[in-house]
Amino acid sequence: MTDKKRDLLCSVIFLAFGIFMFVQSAAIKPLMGSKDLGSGFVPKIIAGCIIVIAGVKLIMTLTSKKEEKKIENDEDKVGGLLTIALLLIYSVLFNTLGFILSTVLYLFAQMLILSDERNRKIPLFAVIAVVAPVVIYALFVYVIKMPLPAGLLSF
Amino acid sequence: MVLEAFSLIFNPACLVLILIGVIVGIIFGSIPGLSATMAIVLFLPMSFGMTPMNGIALLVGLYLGGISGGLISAILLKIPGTPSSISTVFDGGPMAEKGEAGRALGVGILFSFLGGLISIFALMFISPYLAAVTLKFTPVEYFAIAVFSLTIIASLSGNSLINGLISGFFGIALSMVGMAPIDAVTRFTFGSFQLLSGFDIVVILIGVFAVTDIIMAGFGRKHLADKMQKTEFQLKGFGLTLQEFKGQIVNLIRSSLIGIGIGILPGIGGSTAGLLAYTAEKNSSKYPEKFGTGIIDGVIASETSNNAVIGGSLIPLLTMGIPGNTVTAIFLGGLTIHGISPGPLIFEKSGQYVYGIFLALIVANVFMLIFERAGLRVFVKLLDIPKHILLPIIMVCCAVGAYSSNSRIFDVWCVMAFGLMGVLFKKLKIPSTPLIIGFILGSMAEENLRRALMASEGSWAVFVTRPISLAFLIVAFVSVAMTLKKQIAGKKA
Repeated sequence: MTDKKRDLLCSVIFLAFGIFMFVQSAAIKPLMGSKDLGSGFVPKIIAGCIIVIAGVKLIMTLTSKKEEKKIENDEDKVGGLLTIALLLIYSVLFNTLGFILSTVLYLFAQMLILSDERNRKIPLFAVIAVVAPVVIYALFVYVIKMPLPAGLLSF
Repeated sequence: MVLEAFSLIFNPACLVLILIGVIVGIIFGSIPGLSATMAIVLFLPMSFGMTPMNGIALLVGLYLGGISGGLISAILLKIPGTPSSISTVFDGGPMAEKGEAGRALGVGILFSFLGGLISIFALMFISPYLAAVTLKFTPVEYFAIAVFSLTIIASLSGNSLINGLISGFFGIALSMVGMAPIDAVTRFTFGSFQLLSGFDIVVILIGVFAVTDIIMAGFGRKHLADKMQKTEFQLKGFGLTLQEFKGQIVNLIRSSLIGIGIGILPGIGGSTAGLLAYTAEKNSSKYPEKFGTGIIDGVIASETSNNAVIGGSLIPLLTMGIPGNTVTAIFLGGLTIHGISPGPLIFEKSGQYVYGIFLALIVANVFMLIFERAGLRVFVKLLDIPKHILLPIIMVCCAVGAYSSNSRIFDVWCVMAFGLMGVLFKKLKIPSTPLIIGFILGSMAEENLRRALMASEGSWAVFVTRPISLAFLIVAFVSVAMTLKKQIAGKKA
């Protein structure tokens, strides 16, 4: 992706968002009579501002004659996407499996994803993955009495 | 009465309780998602069983510690532990990246202490007069303060003003989800009852700072281990020379006054105080372009003012029985349970407890200074834990924090969604700090704009005819104009 493509994408996304927000807020009618602005007024202004700014950005991007430069891409797509997938799975399992089980799985997998051959110490990861959630759970549930989802392990 | 207060505070049991309060408060303050409010709620029932002075002293310690702890994670992890420390991240984060984490912490701790101390003295000596002035503030002035604080977006946008503005307006848009102020019309909830109360600031903070961080770490995992060099830790005193300290005295006084003022005004809170002080310091600085690159001025403005809020917020509470934020509202509950009713007569009826609160605040402030300075070495060691182990554990703490802010799984999902949004922002090169600022100030601006116009029967002239409001708006306009001028000049060059 080039700088230009990125800026185009950005302005189109926010232009669409601004229009969507404007349409949504135009439907809000003032309830309190003529003296009040109504709950749709400020959202309309904000949506208008977003449309104008995104529009200006769009025009600036289209008219700019800067040299096209490929963005140096040195990122690890697999690592990023795996992390996103893992986080989504974690947030779904958080309630169903309970805090301890889901966190053990999450911690272990996340440490594996973020480490490489040089510093991948499986036994250490396993110990941390088990000890950390148990300590956090005990602290929250027994010391500061704030319930966390117990899930399958109910104690 | 003063002597009685001395004997009540300076006995071993009471001192130990203050110490416990401060330490627990700092821990709560430094973990994102756990707040000073939560710490006080948890310990409130425990304080009922104690003697009035002991119970109140414990709550005082928790309040002070809870506000002070936020700077630790704000500087070391770039995740503000409490919303009050948001503006500490702006310069504290870059300082830590440059290897000056110890210095940033030292300076932050010292000025937290000084800001707290100044506000306590304000509380002791000038509270009734101050309260009388600030209570004349109407929605007109509140709106002007919000607009003035919003102008910091322009100067925090980095290279692209346009991207900063998009981010800021998007933040304001996010603040509108849920029930509208004044007439409680539901907006942008798309039929979900979970969204009725809108997004919690904690949820957005955790999402945009912590979750985005770990996903970006995943994208950059090849280089995660590269940056691992143990930082040499050397710090004498608090990391600044007497000369540097002298240069910050104006900053100290201005930021303290801003913190005290914001503390007195009901319903604004420490996060706005930090932003306002940061903006004011940047606008009056000789080198505004250095802000955000890691200079102590920014850390000092933010930390001084958010701790000065403590003394400020107790002024209307004690003298008029008006709680300005959630912490002082719970505090009020704690006082009434012990038979102390705040109000104009409090000095006559329960004078020993009022002086006791003053003393407890001073003691707690000193304990905070000693404990955080002594623990500094340990806090900085946190950075030596390998990133691939530290980041997942922080992520878990954040998930817990999000869950326990409202005890619902919905907030955990929101955190993930905001994390993904933060990644998109990074990819599109949009700064996310303006979003947070817009979110905090957006609802304040809207609500007070509508209130002001209702009171003025729809006349917009009120904003320029009232002197305080006019002053704020003029400064806001000038600072935006200057930023614009600089941006355009920069483009041509």
